[in-house]
Amino acid sequence: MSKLPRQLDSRIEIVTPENIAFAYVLAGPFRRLPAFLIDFAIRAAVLFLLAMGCLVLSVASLSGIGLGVFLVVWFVLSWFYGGLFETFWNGQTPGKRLLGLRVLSIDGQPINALQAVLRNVLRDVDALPLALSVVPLYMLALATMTANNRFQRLGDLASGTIVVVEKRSKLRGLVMMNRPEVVAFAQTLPVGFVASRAMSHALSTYVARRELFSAPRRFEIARNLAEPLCLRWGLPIDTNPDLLLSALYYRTFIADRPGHEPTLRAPVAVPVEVASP
Amino acid sequence: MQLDQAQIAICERSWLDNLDLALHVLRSRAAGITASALAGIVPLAALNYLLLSLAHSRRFSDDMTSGAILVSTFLVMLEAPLATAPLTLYLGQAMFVNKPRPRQIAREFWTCLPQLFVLQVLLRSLLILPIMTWIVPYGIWPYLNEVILLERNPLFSRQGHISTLKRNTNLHRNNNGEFLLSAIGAGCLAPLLIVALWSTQRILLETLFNFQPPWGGQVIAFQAVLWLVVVYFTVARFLCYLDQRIRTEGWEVELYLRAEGDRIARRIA
Repeated sequence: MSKLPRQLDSRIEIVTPENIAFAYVLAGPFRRLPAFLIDFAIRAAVLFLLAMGCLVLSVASLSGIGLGVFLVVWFVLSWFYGGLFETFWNGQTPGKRLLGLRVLSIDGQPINALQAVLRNVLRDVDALPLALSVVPLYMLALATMTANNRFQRLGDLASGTIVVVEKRSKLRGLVMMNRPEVVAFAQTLPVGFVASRAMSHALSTYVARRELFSAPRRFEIARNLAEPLCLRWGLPIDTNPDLLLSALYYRTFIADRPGHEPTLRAPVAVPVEVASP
Repeated sequence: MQLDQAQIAICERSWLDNLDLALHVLRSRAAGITASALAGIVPLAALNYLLLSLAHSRRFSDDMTSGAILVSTFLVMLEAPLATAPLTLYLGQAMFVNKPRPRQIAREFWTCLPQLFVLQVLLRSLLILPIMTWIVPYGIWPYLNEVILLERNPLFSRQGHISTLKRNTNLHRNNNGEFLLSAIGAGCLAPLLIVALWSTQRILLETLFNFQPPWGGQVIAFQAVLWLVVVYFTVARFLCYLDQRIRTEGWEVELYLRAEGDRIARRIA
Protein backbone atom coordinates (compact mmCIF):
# COMPACT_ATOMS: atom_id res chain seq x y z
CA MET A 1 0.00 0.00 0.00
CA SER A 2 1.37 3.44 -0.80
CA LYS A 3 1.04 6.55 1.31
CA LEU A 4 1.36 10.09 0.03
CA PRO A 5 2.92 12.76 2.24
CA ARG A 6 0.93 15.69 3.66
CA GLN A 7 3.20 18.17 1.93
CA LEU A 8 3.48 18.41 -1.82
CA ASP A 9 6.31 16.14 -2.79
CA SER A 10 7.35 13.71 -5.48
CA ARG A 11 8.33 11.18 -2.82
CA ILE A 12 6.09 8.30 -1.88
CA GLU A 13 6.16 5.79 0.93
CA ILE A 14 5.29 2.22 0.03
CA VAL A 15 4.46 -0.30 2.75
CA THR A 16 4.91 -3.81 1.39
CA PRO A 17 2.63 -6.73 2.43
CA GLU A 18 5.48 -7.76 4.75
CA ASN A 19 4.94 -4.41 6.54
CA ILE A 20 8.26 -2.97 5.43
CA ALA A 21 8.21 0.70 4.44
CA PHE A 22 10.24 1.99 1.52
CA ALA A 23 10.48 5.63 0.44
CA TYR A 24 10.77 6.25 -3.29
CA VAL A 25 11.01 9.28 -5.49
CA LEU A 26 8.36 9.03 -8.19
CA ALA A 27 9.49 9.59 -11.76
CA GLY A 28 7.21 11.97 -13.60
CA PRO A 29 7.03 12.68 -17.32
CA PHE A 30 10.16 14.84 -17.45
CA ARG A 31 12.26 12.46 -15.37
CA ARG A 32 11.21 9.64 -17.71
CA LEU A 33 11.80 11.59 -20.92
CA PRO A 34 15.60 10.98 -21.20
CA ALA A 35 15.09 7.22 -20.61
CA PHE A 36 12.38 7.19 -23.28
CA LEU A 37 14.71 8.98 -25.70
CA ILE A 38 17.52 6.49 -25.04
CA ASP A 39 15.18 3.54 -25.69
CA PHE A 40 13.89 5.26 -28.79
CA ALA A 41 17.47 5.77 -30.03
CA ILE A 42 18.30 2.08 -29.40
CA ARG A 43 15.26 0.93 -31.37
CA ALA A 44 16.02 3.36 -34.18
CA ALA A 45 19.66 2.18 -34.31
CA VAL A 46 18.63 -1.49 -34.46
CA LEU A 47 16.13 -0.80 -37.24
CA PHE A 48 18.72 1.27 -39.13
CA LEU A 49 21.29 -1.55 -38.97
CA LEU A 50 18.67 -4.04 -40.04
CA ALA A 51 17.68 -1.84 -42.97
CA MET A 52 21.34 -1.76 -44.01
CA GLY A 53 21.40 -5.57 -43.78
CA CYS A 54 18.29 -5.76 -45.96
CA LEU A 55 19.97 -3.58 -48.56
CA VAL A 56 22.92 -5.98 -48.64
CA LEU A 57 20.54 -8.95 -49.01
CA SER A 58 18.69 -7.24 -51.83
CA VAL A 59 21.99 -6.97 -53.72
CA ALA A 60 22.30 -10.78 -53.34
CA SER A 61 18.73 -11.18 -54.74
CA LEU A 62 17.38 -12.09 -51.30
CA SER A 63 15.31 -8.97 -50.78
CA GLY A 64 12.19 -10.99 -49.86
CA ILE A 65 13.88 -12.63 -46.89
CA GLY A 66 15.44 -9.34 -45.83
CA LEU A 67 12.11 -7.52 -45.93
CA GLY A 68 10.45 -10.33 -43.96
CA VAL A 69 13.08 -10.24 -41.23
CA PHE A 70 12.91 -6.45 -41.11
CA LEU A 71 9.12 -6.47 -40.71
CA VAL A 72 9.21 -9.10 -37.96
CA VAL A 73 11.90 -7.25 -36.02
CA TRP A 74 10.11 -3.94 -36.53
CA PHE A 75 6.88 -5.49 -35.19
CA VAL A 76 8.61 -7.00 -32.14
CA LEU A 77 10.51 -3.82 -31.34
CA SER A 78 7.45 -1.65 -31.75
CA TRP A 79 5.14 -3.70 -29.55
CA PHE A 80 7.30 -5.76 -27.22
CA TYR A 81 10.63 -3.92 -26.70
CA GLY A 82 9.50 -2.38 -23.41
CA GLY A 83 7.40 -5.36 -22.34
CA LEU A 84 10.18 -7.91 -22.84
CA PHE A 85 12.91 -5.85 -21.21
CA GLU A 86 10.74 -4.92 -18.24
CA THR A 87 9.76 -8.57 -17.76
CA PHE A 88 13.29 -9.98 -17.85
CA TRP A 89 15.16 -6.98 -16.38
CA ASN A 90 12.87 -6.58 -13.38
CA GLY A 91 11.01 -3.46 -14.47
CA GLN A 92 13.81 -1.82 -16.43
CA THR A 93 14.61 -1.12 -20.06
CA PRO A 94 18.15 -0.11 -21.11
CA GLY A 95 17.16 3.57 -20.88
CA LYS A 96 15.61 3.13 -17.44
CA ARG A 97 18.61 1.16 -16.21
CA LEU A 98 21.02 3.84 -17.40
CA LEU A 99 19.07 6.54 -15.61
CA GLY A 100 18.21 4.59 -12.46
CA LEU A 101 14.46 4.21 -13.01
CA ARG A 102 12.39 1.11 -12.29
CA VAL A 103 8.76 0.09 -12.80
CA LEU A 104 7.07 -1.32 -9.70
CA SER A 105 3.57 -2.47 -8.84
CA ILE A 106 1.75 0.12 -6.72
CA ASP A 107 2.20 -2.14 -3.69
CA GLY A 108 5.97 -2.05 -4.15
CA GLN A 109 6.27 -5.57 -5.60
CA PRO A 110 8.21 -6.29 -8.82
CA ILE A 111 6.01 -6.24 -11.90
CA ASN A 112 5.00 -9.42 -13.75
CA ALA A 113 5.00 -10.11 -17.49
CA LEU A 114 1.33 -9.19 -17.94
CA GLN A 115 1.82 -5.80 -16.30
CA ALA A 116 4.98 -5.13 -18.30
CA VAL A 117 3.37 -5.96 -21.63
CA LEU A 118 0.08 -4.20 -20.86
CA ARG A 119 1.69 -0.89 -19.83
CA ASN A 120 3.85 -0.89 -22.95
CA VAL A 121 1.08 -1.87 -25.36
CA LEU A 122 -1.05 0.96 -24.00
CA ARG A 123 1.75 3.43 -24.72
CA ASP A 124 0.15 3.93 -28.13
CA VAL A 125 -2.99 5.23 -26.45
CA ASP A 126 -0.91 7.51 -24.22
CA ALA A 127 0.79 8.86 -27.33
CA LEU A 128 -2.44 10.44 -28.60
CA PRO A 129 -3.17 12.75 -30.28
CA LEU A 130 -1.12 12.27 -33.43
CA ALA A 131 -0.05 15.36 -35.33
CA LEU A 132 -0.26 14.92 -39.11
CA SER A 133 -1.62 11.43 -38.30
CA VAL A 134 1.86 10.07 -37.48
CA VAL A 135 3.72 12.23 -34.93
CA PRO A 136 2.79 11.26 -31.35
CA LEU A 137 2.25 14.27 -29.08
CA TYR A 138 1.81 12.32 -25.78
CA MET A 139 -0.62 14.93 -24.49
CA LEU A 140 -3.00 12.27 -23.14
CA ALA A 141 -0.13 10.83 -21.09
CA LEU A 142 0.88 14.28 -19.82
CA ALA A 143 -2.70 15.11 -18.86
CA THR A 144 -3.18 11.77 -17.07
CA MET A 145 0.11 12.05 -15.21
CA THR A 146 -0.75 15.57 -14.09
CA ALA A 147 -4.18 14.48 -12.93
CA ASN A 148 -3.03 11.80 -10.47
CA ASN A 149 -0.67 11.84 -7.51
CA ARG A 150 1.64 9.05 -8.68
CA PHE A 151 2.49 10.33 -12.16
CA GLN A 152 0.78 7.31 -13.72
CA ARG A 153 -0.01 7.39 -17.42
CA LEU A 154 -2.93 5.37 -18.79
CA GLY A 155 -0.72 2.28 -19.24
CA ASP A 156 0.36 2.52 -15.59
CA LEU A 157 -3.20 2.98 -14.36
CA ALA A 158 -4.39 -0.05 -16.34
CA SER A 159 -1.56 -2.29 -15.15
CA GLY A 160 -1.31 -0.94 -11.59
CA THR A 161 2.29 0.22 -11.86
CA ILE A 162 4.39 3.24 -10.94
CA VAL A 163 7.83 4.33 -12.09
CA VAL A 164 10.28 5.20 -9.32
CA VAL A 165 13.80 6.53 -9.08
CA GLU A 166 16.06 3.95 -7.55
CA LYS A 167 17.90 5.42 -4.63
CA ARG A 168 21.60 5.13 -5.20
CA SER A 169 23.10 5.61 -1.79
CA LYS A 170 26.14 7.81 -1.88
CA LEU A 171 28.77 6.33 0.41
CA ARG A 172 30.30 9.39 1.92
CA GLY A 173 33.49 9.08 3.89
CA LEU A 174 33.95 10.68 7.26
CA VAL A 175 34.58 14.38 7.21
CA MET A 176 38.05 15.23 8.48
CA MET A 177 37.37 16.89 11.81
CA ASN A 178 40.64 17.13 13.68
CA ARG A 179 40.85 20.83 14.48
CA PRO A 180 42.51 21.10 17.94
CA GLU A 181 39.64 23.14 19.41
CA VAL A 182 37.12 20.54 18.25
CA VAL A 183 39.16 17.66 19.70
CA ALA A 184 39.63 19.56 22.95
CA PHE A 185 35.99 20.53 23.24
CA ALA A 186 34.92 16.94 22.53
CA GLN A 187 36.57 15.93 25.83
CA THR A 188 34.23 18.22 27.79
CA LEU A 189 31.11 16.43 26.57
CA PRO A 190 29.46 13.89 28.90
CA VAL A 191 31.30 10.58 28.76
CA GLY A 192 28.26 8.30 28.63
CA PHE A 193 26.49 10.15 25.85
CA VAL A 194 25.63 8.04 22.81
CA ALA A 195 23.99 9.81 19.86
CA SER A 196 20.77 8.25 18.60
CA ARG A 197 20.52 7.18 14.98
CA ALA A 198 18.49 10.26 14.08
CA MET A 199 20.96 12.56 15.80
CA SER A 200 23.91 10.85 14.11
CA HIS A 201 22.21 11.43 10.77
CA ALA A 202 21.53 15.08 11.62
CA LEU A 203 25.13 15.59 12.75
CA SER A 204 26.67 13.95 9.71
CA THR A 205 24.42 15.96 7.36
CA TYR A 206 25.36 19.18 9.13
CA VAL A 207 29.10 18.54 9.15
CA ALA A 208 29.11 17.39 5.52
CA ARG A 209 27.44 20.63 4.43
CA ARG A 210 28.65 23.23 6.95
CA GLU A 211 31.54 24.42 4.78
CA LEU A 212 29.03 25.56 2.17
CA PHE A 213 27.29 27.99 4.54
CA SER A 214 28.42 31.42 5.66
CA ALA A 215 29.53 31.73 9.30
CA PRO A 216 26.35 33.54 10.49
CA ARG A 217 24.18 30.99 8.68
CA ARG A 218 26.18 28.13 10.23
CA PHE A 219 25.57 29.66 13.64
CA GLU A 220 21.85 30.05 12.93
CA ILE A 221 21.42 26.45 11.78
CA ALA A 222 23.56 24.83 14.51
CA ARG A 223 21.79 26.76 17.27
CA ASN A 224 18.62 24.67 16.73
CA LEU A 225 20.30 21.61 18.21
CA ALA A 226 23.08 23.23 20.22
CA GLU A 227 20.83 25.26 22.54
CA PRO A 228 18.81 22.29 23.88
CA LEU A 229 22.06 20.33 24.27
CA CYS A 230 23.65 23.16 26.29
CA LEU A 231 20.58 23.21 28.53
CA ARG A 232 20.68 19.46 28.97
CA TRP A 233 24.38 19.26 29.74
CA GLY A 234 24.63 22.51 31.69
CA LEU A 235 27.09 24.07 29.25
CA PRO A 236 27.40 27.88 29.07
CA ILE A 237 24.61 29.29 26.94
CA ASP A 238 27.14 31.27 24.86
CA THR A 239 28.90 28.09 23.72
CA ASN A 240 29.69 28.26 20.03
CA PRO A 241 26.96 26.07 18.47
CA ASP A 242 29.02 25.17 15.41
CA LEU A 243 31.88 24.04 17.62
CA LEU A 244 29.54 22.02 19.83
CA LEU A 245 28.05 20.13 16.89
CA SER A 246 31.48 19.60 15.33
CA ALA A 247 32.75 18.21 18.63
CA LEU A 248 29.71 15.97 18.93
CA TYR A 249 30.34 14.72 15.42
CA TYR A 250 33.98 14.04 16.35
CA ARG A 251 32.88 12.12 19.42
CA THR A 252 30.23 10.12 17.58
CA PHE A 253 32.04 9.23 14.39
CA ILE A 254 35.76 9.51 15.08
CA ALA A 255 36.80 9.41 18.75
CA ASP A 256 34.45 6.65 19.86
CA ARG A 257 35.45 4.32 17.05
CA PRO A 258 37.28 1.21 18.25
CA GLY A 259 41.05 1.54 18.02
CA HIS A 260 41.01 5.31 18.16
CA GLU A 261 42.79 6.93 21.07
CA PRO A 262 42.27 10.68 21.07
CA THR A 263 44.75 13.01 22.64
CA LEU A 264 43.23 14.36 25.84
CA ARG A 265 43.46 18.03 26.54
CA ALA A 266 42.12 20.29 29.25
CA PRO A 267 38.39 20.93 28.80
CA VAL A 268 37.48 24.37 27.56
CA ALA A 269 34.17 25.92 26.69
CA VAL A 270 34.68 28.19 23.73
CA PRO A 271 32.37 31.20 23.65
CA VAL A 272 30.53 32.31 20.58
CA GLU A 273 32.76 34.08 18.10
CA VAL A 274 30.24 34.70 15.38
CA ALA A 275 27.79 37.56 15.58
CA SER A 276 24.16 36.58 15.71
CA PRO A 277 22.54 37.13 12.29
CA MET B 1 10.45 31.17 8.48
CA GLN B 2 8.65 27.98 9.54
CA LEU B 3 10.40 25.50 7.28
CA ASP B 4 8.64 22.52 8.82
CA GLN B 5 5.26 24.06 7.99
CA ALA B 6 6.06 24.52 4.31
CA GLN B 7 3.40 23.31 1.88
CA ILE B 8 6.09 21.84 -0.36
CA ALA B 9 8.46 19.33 1.22
CA ILE B 10 11.92 20.78 1.85
CA CYS B 11 14.53 18.57 0.20
CA GLU B 12 17.07 18.78 -2.59
CA ARG B 13 15.72 17.92 -6.01
CA SER B 14 17.11 17.73 -9.50
CA TRP B 15 15.93 20.05 -12.27
CA LEU B 16 13.85 17.27 -13.84
CA ASP B 17 12.28 16.43 -10.45
CA ASN B 18 11.30 20.07 -10.10
CA LEU B 19 9.69 20.01 -13.55
CA ASP B 20 7.65 16.99 -12.46
CA LEU B 21 6.72 18.47 -9.11
CA ALA B 22 5.55 21.64 -10.87
CA LEU B 23 2.76 19.54 -12.42
CA HIS B 24 1.63 18.53 -8.92
CA VAL B 25 1.75 22.13 -7.75
CA LEU B 26 -0.25 23.29 -10.79
CA ARG B 27 -2.94 20.74 -10.05
CA SER B 28 -3.17 21.17 -6.30
CA ARG B 29 -3.13 24.98 -6.44
CA ALA B 30 -5.02 25.33 -9.73
CA ALA B 31 -7.48 28.02 -8.61
CA GLY B 32 -4.93 30.33 -7.01
CA ILE B 33 -2.39 29.88 -9.77
CA THR B 34 -5.01 30.57 -12.46
CA ALA B 35 -6.29 33.70 -10.72
CA SER B 36 -2.85 35.18 -10.01
CA ALA B 37 -1.56 34.26 -13.47
CA LEU B 38 -4.57 35.83 -15.18
CA ALA B 39 -4.16 39.02 -13.12
CA GLY B 40 -0.71 39.53 -14.60
CA ILE B 41 -1.22 38.08 -18.04
CA VAL B 42 -4.60 39.42 -19.24
CA PRO B 43 -3.56 43.11 -19.58
CA LEU B 44 -0.39 42.22 -21.48
CA ALA B 45 -2.12 39.59 -23.63
CA ALA B 46 -4.73 42.23 -24.57
CA LEU B 47 -1.92 44.62 -25.50
CA ASN B 48 -0.31 41.92 -27.64
CA TYR B 49 -3.59 41.21 -29.40
CA LEU B 50 -3.99 44.89 -30.15
CA LEU B 51 -0.47 45.16 -31.57
CA LEU B 52 -0.89 42.03 -33.68
CA SER B 53 -4.29 43.18 -34.96
CA LEU B 54 -2.80 46.49 -36.06
CA ALA B 55 -0.01 44.69 -37.89
CA HIS B 56 -2.45 42.14 -39.32
CA SER B 57 -4.70 44.79 -40.82
CA ARG B 58 -1.72 45.91 -42.89
CA ARG B 59 0.35 42.83 -43.62
CA PHE B 60 -0.73 39.40 -42.44
CA SER B 61 -2.94 36.95 -44.28
CA ASP B 62 -5.97 35.20 -42.76
CA ASP B 63 -4.01 32.21 -41.55
CA MET B 64 -1.52 32.32 -38.64
CA THR B 65 1.68 33.31 -40.38
CA SER B 66 5.21 32.69 -39.23
CA GLY B 67 5.49 36.46 -38.72
CA ALA B 68 2.58 36.51 -36.26
CA ILE B 69 3.98 33.46 -34.46
CA LEU B 70 7.43 35.04 -34.14
CA VAL B 71 6.10 38.41 -32.98
CA SER B 72 3.79 36.73 -30.43
CA THR B 73 6.63 34.63 -29.06
CA PHE B 74 8.99 37.62 -28.88
CA LEU B 75 6.41 39.75 -27.06
CA VAL B 76 5.54 37.01 -24.58
CA MET B 77 9.21 36.37 -23.77
CA LEU B 78 9.80 40.06 -23.16
CA GLU B 79 6.71 40.43 -21.01
CA ALA B 80 7.01 37.16 -19.08
CA PRO B 81 8.86 38.53 -15.99
CA LEU B 82 6.33 41.32 -15.52
CA ALA B 83 3.28 39.20 -16.35
CA THR B 84 4.21 36.40 -13.98
CA ALA B 85 5.06 38.69 -11.04
CA PRO B 86 1.66 38.21 -9.30
CA LEU B 87 1.98 34.44 -9.79
CA THR B 88 5.46 34.43 -8.24
CA LEU B 89 4.16 36.44 -5.28
CA TYR B 90 1.26 34.01 -4.91
CA LEU B 91 3.61 31.02 -4.95
CA GLY B 92 5.83 32.69 -2.37
CA GLN B 93 2.88 33.04 -0.02
CA ALA B 94 1.37 29.65 -0.87
CA MET B 95 4.61 28.02 0.19
CA PHE B 96 3.90 28.80 3.84
CA VAL B 97 0.19 29.59 4.22
CA ASN B 98 -2.88 27.74 3.07
CA LYS B 99 -4.81 30.76 1.84
CA PRO B 100 -2.68 33.55 0.42
CA ARG B 101 -4.29 37.01 0.65
CA PRO B 102 -4.92 38.72 -2.71
CA ARG B 103 -4.76 42.19 -1.16
CA GLN B 104 -1.30 41.52 0.25
CA ILE B 105 -0.15 40.15 -3.12
CA ALA B 106 -1.42 43.31 -4.85
CA ARG B 107 0.31 45.52 -2.28
CA GLU B 108 3.61 43.66 -2.64
CA PHE B 109 3.33 43.81 -6.42
CA TRP B 110 3.01 47.61 -6.38
CA THR B 111 5.93 47.86 -3.96
CA CYS B 112 8.16 45.79 -6.26
CA LEU B 113 6.98 47.35 -9.53
CA PRO B 114 9.71 50.05 -9.71
CA GLN B 115 12.47 47.44 -9.29
CA LEU B 116 10.81 45.14 -11.80
CA PHE B 117 10.63 48.00 -14.24
CA VAL B 118 14.26 49.03 -13.73
CA LEU B 119 15.84 45.57 -13.68
CA GLN B 120 13.56 43.50 -15.89
CA VAL B 121 12.44 46.12 -18.42
CA LEU B 122 15.09 48.87 -18.57
CA LEU B 123 18.13 46.70 -17.90
CA ARG B 124 17.04 44.20 -20.51
CA SER B 125 16.37 46.94 -23.00
CA LEU B 126 19.93 48.13 -22.45
CA LEU B 127 21.20 44.66 -23.25
CA ILE B 128 19.83 45.35 -26.65
CA LEU B 129 21.40 42.54 -28.63
CA PRO B 130 18.75 39.81 -28.65
CA ILE B 131 21.18 37.04 -27.75
CA MET B 132 22.37 38.96 -24.69
CA THR B 133 18.82 39.85 -23.78
CA TRP B 134 17.92 36.18 -23.61
CA ILE B 135 21.09 34.79 -22.08
CA VAL B 136 21.59 37.17 -19.17
CA PRO B 137 18.19 37.10 -17.51
CA TYR B 138 17.16 33.57 -18.42
CA GLY B 139 20.46 31.74 -18.45
CA ILE B 140 22.70 33.37 -15.90
CA TRP B 141 20.21 35.07 -13.58
CA PRO B 142 17.22 32.75 -13.72
CA TYR B 143 15.94 33.79 -10.29
CA LEU B 144 16.13 37.57 -10.63
CA ASN B 145 12.33 37.83 -10.52
CA GLU B 146 12.17 35.75 -7.33
CA VAL B 147 14.91 37.86 -5.71
CA ILE B 148 13.09 41.10 -6.57
CA LEU B 149 9.64 39.89 -5.55
CA LEU B 150 10.22 37.53 -2.64
CA GLU B 151 13.35 38.81 -0.94
CA ARG B 152 12.58 42.51 -1.37
CA ASN B 153 16.01 44.01 -1.02
CA PRO B 154 16.40 47.72 -1.84
CA LEU B 155 17.47 48.77 -5.32
CA PHE B 156 20.60 50.42 -3.87
CA SER B 157 22.38 49.03 -0.83
CA ARG B 158 21.74 50.79 2.48
CA GLN B 159 23.27 50.26 5.87
CA GLY B 160 22.48 46.70 6.89
CA HIS B 161 20.69 45.84 3.62
CA ILE B 162 22.37 44.58 0.47
CA SER B 163 21.00 45.67 -2.88
CA THR B 164 18.89 43.44 -5.10
CA LEU B 165 21.66 43.05 -7.65
CA LYS B 166 24.20 42.14 -4.96
CA ARG B 167 21.84 39.57 -3.46
CA ASN B 168 21.14 38.30 -6.95
CA THR B 169 24.86 37.90 -7.61
CA ASN B 170 25.34 36.06 -4.30
CA LEU B 171 22.50 33.65 -5.06
CA HIS B 172 23.74 32.86 -8.55
CA ARG B 173 27.44 32.72 -7.71
CA ASN B 174 29.39 29.58 -8.72
CA ASN B 175 26.43 27.93 -10.46
CA ASN B 176 26.44 29.61 -13.84
CA GLY B 177 27.20 26.41 -15.75
CA GLU B 178 24.32 24.60 -14.09
CA PHE B 179 21.93 27.50 -14.74
CA LEU B 180 22.97 27.70 -18.37
CA LEU B 181 22.35 23.96 -18.81
CA SER B 182 18.90 24.31 -17.25
CA ALA B 183 18.16 27.26 -19.52
CA ILE B 184 19.20 25.21 -22.57
CA GLY B 185 16.99 22.34 -21.34
CA ALA B 186 14.07 24.72 -20.87
CA GLY B 187 14.84 26.22 -24.28
CA CYS B 188 14.42 22.75 -25.82
CA LEU B 189 11.39 21.67 -23.78
CA ALA B 190 9.36 24.86 -24.05
CA PRO B 191 9.08 24.86 -27.87
CA LEU B 192 8.19 21.15 -27.79
CA LEU B 193 5.42 21.83 -25.28
CA ILE B 194 4.16 24.80 -27.27
CA VAL B 195 4.02 22.78 -30.49
CA ALA B 196 2.35 19.83 -28.74
CA LEU B 197 -0.29 21.97 -27.01
CA TRP B 198 -0.95 24.08 -30.11
CA SER B 199 -1.32 20.99 -32.32
CA THR B 200 -3.54 19.28 -29.74
CA GLN B 201 -6.02 22.15 -29.56
CA ARG B 202 -6.16 22.34 -33.36
CA ILE B 203 -6.71 18.57 -33.69
CA LEU B 204 -9.41 18.63 -31.03
CA LEU B 205 -11.24 21.57 -32.62
CA GLU B 206 -11.08 20.06 -36.09
CA THR B 207 -11.97 16.47 -35.23
CA LEU B 208 -14.56 17.08 -32.50
CA PHE B 209 -16.25 20.25 -33.77
CA ASN B 210 -15.05 20.46 -37.37
CA PHE B 211 -14.16 24.06 -36.57
CA GLN B 212 -11.37 26.14 -38.08
CA PRO B 213 -10.97 29.32 -36.01
CA PRO B 214 -10.60 32.66 -37.81
CA TRP B 215 -7.36 34.70 -37.60
CA GLY B 216 -8.31 36.39 -34.34
CA GLY B 217 -9.19 33.07 -32.73
CA GLN B 218 -5.91 31.56 -33.83
CA VAL B 219 -3.94 34.45 -32.36
CA ILE B 220 -5.80 34.15 -29.05
CA ALA B 221 -5.30 30.35 -28.99
CA PHE B 222 -1.59 30.66 -29.77
CA GLN B 223 -1.11 33.31 -27.11
CA ALA B 224 -3.03 31.14 -24.63
CA VAL B 225 -0.69 28.23 -25.35
CA LEU B 226 2.38 30.46 -24.96
CA TRP B 227 1.16 31.85 -21.66
CA LEU B 228 0.25 28.38 -20.40
CA VAL B 229 3.82 27.23 -21.01
CA VAL B 230 5.16 30.43 -19.39
CA VAL B 231 2.99 29.77 -16.30
CA TYR B 232 4.22 26.19 -16.08
CA PHE B 233 7.86 27.24 -16.31
CA THR B 234 7.26 30.00 -13.75
CA VAL B 235 6.05 27.39 -11.26
CA ALA B 236 8.98 25.11 -12.13
CA ARG B 237 11.42 28.03 -11.79
CA PHE B 238 9.98 28.87 -8.38
CA LEU B 239 10.65 25.29 -7.27
CA CYS B 240 14.18 25.50 -8.67
CA TYR B 241 14.67 28.76 -6.75
CA LEU B 242 13.60 26.99 -3.55
CA ASP B 243 15.99 24.19 -4.39
CA GLN B 244 18.81 26.67 -4.90
CA ARG B 245 18.13 28.20 -1.47
CA ILE B 246 17.89 24.76 0.11
CA ARG B 247 21.35 23.98 -1.25
CA THR B 248 23.02 27.27 -0.42
CA GLU B 249 21.30 28.00 2.90
CA GLY B 250 20.89 24.49 4.22
CA TRP B 251 17.13 24.50 4.85
CA GLU B 252 17.09 20.71 4.86
CA VAL B 253 19.92 20.55 7.41
CA GLU B 254 18.11 23.10 9.56
CA LEU B 255 15.00 20.89 9.57
CA TYR B 256 16.99 17.84 10.71
CA LEU B 257 18.69 19.77 13.49
CA ARG B 258 15.48 21.46 14.60
CA ALA B 259 13.67 18.12 14.81
CA GLU B 260 16.46 16.72 16.99
CA GLY B 261 16.55 19.88 19.10
CA ASP B 262 12.78 19.68 19.68
CA ARG B 263 13.12 16.05 20.73
CA ILE B 264 15.76 16.93 23.32
CA ALA B 265 13.79 19.96 24.54
CA ARG B 266 10.71 17.78 25.04
CA ARG B 267 12.78 15.30 27.01
CA ILE B 268 14.11 18.08 29.25
CA ALA B 269 10.59 19.42 29.81
